[in-house]
This record gives sequence, C-alpha cells and structure tokens, in this order.
Amino acid sequence: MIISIIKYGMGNVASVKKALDKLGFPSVITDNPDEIRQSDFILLPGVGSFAVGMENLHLSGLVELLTDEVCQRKKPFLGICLGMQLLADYGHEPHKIKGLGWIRGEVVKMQLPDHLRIPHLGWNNVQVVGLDNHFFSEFSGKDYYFIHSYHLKAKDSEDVVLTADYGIPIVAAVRKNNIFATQFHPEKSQNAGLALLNKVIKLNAQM
Amino acid sequence: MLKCRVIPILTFNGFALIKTKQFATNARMVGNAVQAARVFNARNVDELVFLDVYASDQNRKINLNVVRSIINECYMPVGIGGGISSIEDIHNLLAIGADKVILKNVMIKNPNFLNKAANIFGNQCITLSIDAHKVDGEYYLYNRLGKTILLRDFIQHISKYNFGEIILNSVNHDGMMEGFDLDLIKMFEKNIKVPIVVVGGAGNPEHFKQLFSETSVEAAGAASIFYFTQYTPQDIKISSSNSGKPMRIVNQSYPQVN
Amino acid sequence: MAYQLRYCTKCLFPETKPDLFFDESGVCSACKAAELKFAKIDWKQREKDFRTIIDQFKLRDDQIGYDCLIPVSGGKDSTYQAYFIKEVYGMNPLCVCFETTRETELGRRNLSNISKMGIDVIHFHKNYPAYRSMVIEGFKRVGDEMWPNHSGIFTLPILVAIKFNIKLIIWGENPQQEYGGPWESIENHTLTRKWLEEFGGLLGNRIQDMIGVDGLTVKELTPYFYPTEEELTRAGLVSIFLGHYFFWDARKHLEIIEKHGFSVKEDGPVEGTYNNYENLDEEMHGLHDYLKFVKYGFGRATDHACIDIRNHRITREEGLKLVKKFDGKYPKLAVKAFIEYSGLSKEEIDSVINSFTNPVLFKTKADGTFMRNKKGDLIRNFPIR
Repeated sequence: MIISIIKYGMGNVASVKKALDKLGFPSVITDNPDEIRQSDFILLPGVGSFAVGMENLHLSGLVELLTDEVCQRKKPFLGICLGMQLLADYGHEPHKIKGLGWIRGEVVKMQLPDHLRIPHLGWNNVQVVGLDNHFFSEFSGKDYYFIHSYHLKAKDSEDVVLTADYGIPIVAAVRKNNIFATQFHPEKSQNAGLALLNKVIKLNAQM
Repeated sequence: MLKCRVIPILTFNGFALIKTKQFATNARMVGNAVQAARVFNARNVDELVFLDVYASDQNRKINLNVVRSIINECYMPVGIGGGISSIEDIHNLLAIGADKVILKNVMIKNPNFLNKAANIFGNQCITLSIDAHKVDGEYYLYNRLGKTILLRDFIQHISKYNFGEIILNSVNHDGMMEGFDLDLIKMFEKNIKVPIVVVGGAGNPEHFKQLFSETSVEAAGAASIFYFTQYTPQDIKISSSNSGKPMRIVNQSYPQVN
Repeated sequence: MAYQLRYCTKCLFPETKPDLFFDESGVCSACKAAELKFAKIDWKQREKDFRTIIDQFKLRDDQIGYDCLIPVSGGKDSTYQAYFIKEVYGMNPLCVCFETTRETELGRRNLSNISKMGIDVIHFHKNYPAYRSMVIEGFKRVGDEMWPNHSGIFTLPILVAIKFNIKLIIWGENPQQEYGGPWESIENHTLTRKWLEEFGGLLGNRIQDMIGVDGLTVKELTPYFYPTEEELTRAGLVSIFLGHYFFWDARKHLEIIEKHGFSVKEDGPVEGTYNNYENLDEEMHGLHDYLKFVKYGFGRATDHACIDIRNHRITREEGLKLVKKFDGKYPKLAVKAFIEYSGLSKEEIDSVINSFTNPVLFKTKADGTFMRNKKGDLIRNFPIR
C-alpha cells in the first residue's frame, strides 16, 4: 500500500511524511497524476489561505484528477487543516471562492466572543458527534493541535464526526464514505494524533 | 476547551544551546540541541521554540541541517526563529517541517514583509518575537539595531499588520527564575488580539499558576527552569491543572508525595 | 559557517563545554578557579573552617554512630576521601557506593579495599532490570548511558544519611571548581538538591521522565527520588565538598592511596584518554566519554590534559599533543560491552551516537553523514588552536 501526499505548494508535507514514516506507511510526496492514480490512499495536507490553495490545485491540474479519484473511484482520502477546508463548496479567505465541493458547506472566518483570541491556536479536546460514530469514540476527549482562523460550517450534520469547543462549536473532523478530514493536525498531535492517523489509514486501506 | 500551553524555548548560538540572564552577552552554554528536543518530545510538551539568537548579529542564516535534525525529533509543533528576513527563508523552514517562523528584526525594519509573508503562507505561521526591556519604569522594545522604541507605540503600530501570534519576552526577567513580568502582560494583553506566549522569569510551577490565573494569557515559554531545577513541564501542568486551569496532561503516574 | 570556535587561551577547553565561561582575555572559568586555588585561597583558614564543621558532628569513641557519610565509587578520588577522613581526621565514616553499571574487576578490588582500610561500606546493588531500562533510555534520549548512575550516586547517599541519622556528608572535588562553571558555583561549598538538578549531569532529563519507560513504576524507582524538602530540613543534612577546604591534587592523592592498597590499570591507559588511573571502576565509561566528545567536541583526554595544565604538570603545547593523540577515539571496548549489556546492535548504537553528533563541529558529506578518517575517527571543523 502506498499513500500519495499531494504536493501543491501549501507547506506541511514534510511533517506529514515524517508521521507516516513513523507509523510505517510507505508514502510519496507528489503532484504527478500517474503516481496519484497508482497510489492506494490520497492525503491532502495544507496550511495557508483558501484562495491560494484552490489556485494552486487548479494550476497543478489536480482538481479534476482528485475529484475523479476520490468521488468517482472512491479512493480512500484524508484531508488535514486546509486539506479539510478545501473540500467545502466555498471559502471566503480572503474573498469568496469555489472549493472542491465534496462536503457541503462554507468556510468562513470564525466569529468569536470578545475575550477569545484568534487564530484558534493550541491544543483542544474533541467530542464525537452523531449516533453512528463509535469508530471515533476512542478519540473523544483527547487533545489535538489546532491552528486556524477560518472554520468549516457544514451543511449536513451527518458529515460531522468530531467537534471542538472554542467559544463556538468548531467542526474538528468530517467523514463522508471514503473521505475523512480533520481541521486539527494529527501529525502534530503526538501520540494521540499518530494513533488517529494509524486507525484512519488502516480502516480505509481495507475499503 | 482550549488548553494552556507550556512551551520550552531553546536558544542557540550557532554551535549549541545557551542560556542568558537578562539577555547579557556572556551566555551560559547548556548543551546539545538535538538532545534537548528529544527529551522534550519524550515529555509530550505542547510545542517547542528554537531560536538562533545571534544569526542576525552575525549576518548569517540559521543552519538548516541543525533545524532539520531538531524537527525530526518532534511530533508536536515547532517554531523556528533567527535571521529570517526573506520569503525564501520562510519557505526553506516550512519545507523542512517548521510550523511557525518567528520574526524579530524584520518586523522592526520592514513590517510590510509581515503582510507579504502572511499572504503567501497564511498568517498562522507568522509569529512575532517582542522583547520588552524595562528602563526607569518605562517599557521599550529591546533590539540590537540601535533604535529606541517605546513598547506601547510599537504594539499599537504592529497591531495593524497581519500575523498569528506574539511571543512576549521580558528582558529584565530573563533567566532570573523569580517569576514572570505580570505588570508587562497586564499592560499589553488588551491591546493584542492574537494568542500570546509569555516568556521570561519562570523558576517554579507557582509562577505559571500565577500567570494563568492573574492574566488572560494562555501560553507560557520557559528555559532556565528546565535546565537548572527539578521541575519538568508535567510538574508545571499538573500544578496549574490542580488550580483549575485547563491543561493538556498526557497520562503518566506520579509519586504521591511532593 | 559561523564564527571561529573559541578555545581557552590557557587550557584546551572549547566554548562548547556546558557551563563554561570565558573572561575578556579568553581565559576560561576553570583556569580562573585554578588561579584562585594556587594563589588566592587561604588554605590554612579553609582547613580551620573544616575543623570547625567536623567538630560539630564528630562523635566520641564511646558513642554508637557514624561521624559522616562519604559517597564512594571505588575510584581514586573517593578512596582518597575515605582514607583522608579515617586516617588523617580520625573519624568513623560510613561509605556508600551506588553500584556502577558494569563494574570492572579492578573497580571491585578497589572498592573492597576501602573496607580493608577500616571502614564500613554499603555497596548498593540496584534493581538490575529497572536500572538497565534507564541505561538504554538514557542512551537513546539524552545520549548518556550513564544517566541513571548520575541520578543514583547523588541521591542514594542522601537517602542513606537520613536513614542512619548521619548529618554530615562529605563529597570530593567541586566539579565546577575543577572543570569550570558559573562563578557562584565555583565558590559554592555545599551540594544541595538544586546543585544536583543544575550540575549533576542529568542533561535536562529528570527521574519523573523515567516513569513508564518499559513499564517502570514510581515504586521501582524509589532510590532515585530525592527526599522531600521536609525530610531534608528535619534531617538537618550538611553536604560539603572536600575540595573547597583542601587543595585538590588528583595525582598526589593517587600516590598516597596506592600505598594503601589502591591499584591502577597495569596494561595501558583507560579508553579515551592517556592516563591509567581514572574511571577504573566502570567498563562502559568510554562510551559516555565518547558521547561527550561528539556532542561538544572534547573528550576525556582534554579534561585530563586541562587538569594537568592547571596543576602545572604540562604546558599547553604538550597538552595539545596529548589531546590530538588520544581524544575522541571511537570506544571499541566500551561499545562491545554495551552491545552485550543492552542487546542493541552496533548499527543501532552508532545511529544513536550519530544523532547526537554536532554537525557544526564535525565535517559532514553532502548527504549529511559524517566524514571519518582512515582510523574511523570524526574530523573536526574547528581544529584546536
């Protein structure tokens, strides 16, 4: 099994690979269509703005490829941070721009109570939501590392599997069939994060 | 709920880790950077900050091999600072796995660079290092560029720019292990909207308890306490947790005495 | 490349040595302390001070009890301390030895020699698997397979002193005085908990960090936990450095104790240096010393040359020759012993050593691996000047 870590100029790939290496999952950092198609699992990381992220995906010709691989061919997929936000219909950073549209919803700037600082930066605990999501129960209550100023407002609540609280409810992770994505950084969340990566990849590798 | 962070600060002189007292030049050599990173990763610290403190003075760039070997030890976020002044510098550091870059001189010399960098990389990876020096009762922005800048003017000025976090360091309390400069924080915490990491003066867990309960700050950095005393980050977090602050505590059993 | 690596102008210590300070003329704090030692300190007064202290604690011959406690290793320094307190000051010390990792035959003999000098010795045989777990973890985590030993040798004597109700503990040299440290620490004459945390060689790791390693519990780590503040205050312990009160001269001490049964290595120098009377008791000391070399750029031979320079036995030039010949050689014997002890392979061990090797101090190839000469030694980026 080989995981393709999508390279699209939005940082973060080295850390993700390091985590996968530690867990023993072979991976390749790539933007090459053949390598992506031949891989068994697609991982989309990313930090930075929604607009630049989408622009880079378009420039690399990856939008159609990824949509085909993930939505049509149902290849297992994990998105991290910006890699989760880009799945939305629209983003607003810095202006309204179309996303991949795999998960219904929009990414907007967080409107927080006055006393809370922005970005949402640091370790926060997640809660499992949805009746069906016993797969994620072992992650409930654990702390993961968040760093973002924009957040996903999901249209379909069934897509949301983990939430966090930062004055307002934050979507921490979404799941839809073969798509799984986290707002937080599991590759930066030490043992808790590595355990989650391990479980998600192992589960999806069987699909 | 967001947890309060306890962050070891590693200061590097180009060869090895050092520790200053009140930013004086005769710094104390404290050891090997990779070793420190490894210990802190094993201790499940919340984050790590690594600063090459003489890079700008010596007109050189931070050694990427050293940075890479440190980041390789860490499965938590790492912030890197030291002589960063160009988009290429930031790109190089993020490419080897740094999560945040920490800027100091460039924020004084060319603050527009902050917006430029934030637009390219996202503001969450841009952290500013603000060193406060108290002289005759007044706070100044400490710098080795020969500029006299009142801290309150600077904070007003820099708040207009785009960045994700501030590390607020007290020159006077640095290395003294007698507590954080709470006056400094209380003076400026309302003027700063982004997360603040307070550094300078930690000597025992009580200091952190005090900081978290008397100010709105939710993150503290420290160094001397970890080199020279019996306290570990876990000791600090358990102490603060016992006083009601939300802390991230990774399971470990502790002796009942003490 | 950064600026040039500074070396002390009087001895051969590099600025990368932890806790070392340099003055404006480039002289290190160890040399400055030595100057004090030779010229400025009033040793007669110090001896008087010492007498004043021990007179407070010395029991009469018709009383039950120990006058003081001396931590020993079986090495020359602690053997000398034991001899000195017993023979010269006529006291009845209790000697406490925290067993080293892998004792040498010579170390065993020298330790039992102490009891032959007329002294009670407690030789603490530690929980082997627990200690071994910490040795391996210490090696991997902080690059020091002797880590649990540092913790044990400073903590156990305190615990024993409290149990036996002995108030005075006599340590040997003040390492900050002999090897350089912050000025306050050089003048320091007591060894407190803070001293252990700051100077005990714990390399940033603490005993709490070992809980859970290989399932180690707090209970199993009992001899490594320092007593609480309350226990210490109640016990009224006084810990002093003998080196603060008496001029410390290792070679002179050696001459004396060799007359009292102490044996040195007969078949050549100890691994990593040029003398045959240091670190005789521990089989794997060479690995600890080599790790120091790769981290900081100087090894045991440098330590010894600097001491000999400061004691006016050799010149700096002669010292430089010795260092070039003996310093920083790969410790084949110690590594062989460590392979047997730990079960790690040579590749694993070398990989850990490499991870602690400073890439600024030693030459690397384009791929980041370290260059070595024909003998397999690392090549310095900054030759000693």
